[in-house]
Amino acid sequence: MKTFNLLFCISAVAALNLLLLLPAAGFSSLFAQQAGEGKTDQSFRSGYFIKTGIDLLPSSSESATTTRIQLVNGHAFNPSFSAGVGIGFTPYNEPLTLVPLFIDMNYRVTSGTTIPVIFLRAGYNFSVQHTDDILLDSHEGGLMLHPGVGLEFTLSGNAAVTLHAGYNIDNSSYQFQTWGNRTVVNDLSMRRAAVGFSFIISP
Amino acid sequence: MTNTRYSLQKSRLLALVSILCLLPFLFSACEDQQIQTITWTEFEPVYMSEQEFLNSVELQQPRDLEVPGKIYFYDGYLFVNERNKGVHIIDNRDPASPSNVGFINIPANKDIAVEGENLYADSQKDLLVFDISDLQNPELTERIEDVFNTAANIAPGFTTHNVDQSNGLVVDWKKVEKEEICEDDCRSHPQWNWRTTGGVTFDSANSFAAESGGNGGGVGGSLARFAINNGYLYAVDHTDLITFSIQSGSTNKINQNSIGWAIETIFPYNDNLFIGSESAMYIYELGDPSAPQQLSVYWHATACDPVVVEGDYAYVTLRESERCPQGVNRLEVVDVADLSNPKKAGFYNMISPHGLGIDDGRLFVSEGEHGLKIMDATDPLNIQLLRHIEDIEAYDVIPFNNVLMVTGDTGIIQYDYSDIEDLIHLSTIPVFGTQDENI
Repeated sequence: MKTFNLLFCISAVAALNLLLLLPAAGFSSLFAQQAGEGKTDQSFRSGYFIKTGIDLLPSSSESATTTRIQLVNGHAFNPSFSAGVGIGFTPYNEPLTLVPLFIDMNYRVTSGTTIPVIFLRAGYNFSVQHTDDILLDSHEGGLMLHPGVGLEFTLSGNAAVTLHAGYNIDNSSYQFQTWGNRTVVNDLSMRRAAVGFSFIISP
Repeated sequence: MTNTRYSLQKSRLLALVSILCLLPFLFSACEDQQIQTITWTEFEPVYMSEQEFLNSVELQQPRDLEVPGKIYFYDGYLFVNERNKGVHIIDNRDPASPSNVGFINIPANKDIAVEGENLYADSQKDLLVFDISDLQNPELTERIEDVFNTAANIAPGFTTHNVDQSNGLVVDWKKVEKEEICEDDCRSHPQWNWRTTGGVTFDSANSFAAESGGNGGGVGGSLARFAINNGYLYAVDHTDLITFSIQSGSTNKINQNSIGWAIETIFPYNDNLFIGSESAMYIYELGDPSAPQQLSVYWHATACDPVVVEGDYAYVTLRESERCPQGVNRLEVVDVADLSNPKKAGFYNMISPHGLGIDDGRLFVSEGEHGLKIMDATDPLNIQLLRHIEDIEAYDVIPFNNVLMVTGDTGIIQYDYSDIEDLIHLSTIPVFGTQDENI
């Protein structure tokens, strides 16, 4: 399982490299050409935007891939930088479901219709017990950190879709009693590669 | 234009560097991590060599009460068990001014009873008899060996230790805090949650006494495991009822029968024995006092359950505890007019009932940290609460001759209860330990 995990991570890293190396090679000339021709910069959006999307968080252990959904309300300050506040739903169900509240920061490396993006999501996971079938004394959330890179494809003047990959950390903990009146504090740190996509609408 | 290109290249370079910085992070940390910190309390046996065990019985100077167990009142004196250590002798002829007379060091002592000039005390597997005709100088006169089989070797809570006889005799159990840290491949999971303790235990530690209706000279308690009646000492072990003849100046074991499981208490009343276990009350008749015969069994919910009897009714407190997690908290009234057919007559919800005592229709129920309840039980089918003293901790009571002896964390508190409405505090014999230490 650890071998699979390593291979998966290598694959994820390779994908990330590809995303970055492409702009560094062929894409870069395309972007430069677009800029040089003085075409309308369709990537430029400023002001309020809504972003919603899905992240796949494949697990290297027995548990299944977790799918996180999220919604971000943000503001594009200029063509390169935008930031927003997001909320998500991450049903790990082991035995906690996490509800992250996070800051979403994006940096567009270039301008154009296909744009490399670097992003960072950081915040706090609130924890929710997903079933009453088990007895927990207490539970609490923890850090959520999700750096990554992506490609943003402009669909129109006010809409875009982003494909992204990155690395995700979700921390949480819970406490329960087990046989022998033992108290178990379980600190979990879900550390997974993450791939996903988002839709961005700038009304 | 040149500036724009330079800016773009700089941005790409920045992005590339950022991602390259992520590489080692991804390679090293792309895996869920789990750290389980498991903490628990368990009991470890304290061993003593056979020789030390035999030699350590001795009279010592009076000492403070630290972890008191059973108490026994006889002829103006209080005998207080210091759990697994010995017996305090307290001159209580003036309940308003008790004085500590001495301490008999007895390893692994939990139960005591007094008759005439003899003090009977268990010591691990043995029964010891002391001549207390001179209370300033008690003397060990008899040791009846190997009469108690199991109780001392049973941990009073969870343990992972097996008793190893090669280390000596178990004379105590030491409470220790344990911690274990497990990373990743951890086996504990809340879905496998048992919510129970691992050991079979006695809870005699938490309770002390109530008035006995036996024909012995002293007053034992609702949670005592020794009872004296008409020249016989009856003792219950974890599973057995053991009969000793204590007539004619010598003590002889004459009978030992296995009667059940998790036997906790014994209460003599009108030539009958009422024996409490975690799940039942057994009634034995003493027509032949040397060979108690079972008359009936009254089954109840699994709980910690001292019993006292007055008239045609038995009063049983059922308490939920760590040891009895499925239990209930209530006072049950059992009609024992027909001893061969006991019937539940009623029940009253309680908070956390421990030991109890009854005297002429006045029922005293210890509610642990919730205090003491005094109830009017002149009509057992319609018991009325008279008073609830909430500012004390009470684990058991002895009501005797209008002096109420209440045991709790802070001490043995004595009241004059000749007028329930005007309960007079007489004295407090302080305890310098805590119930947490009680095993």
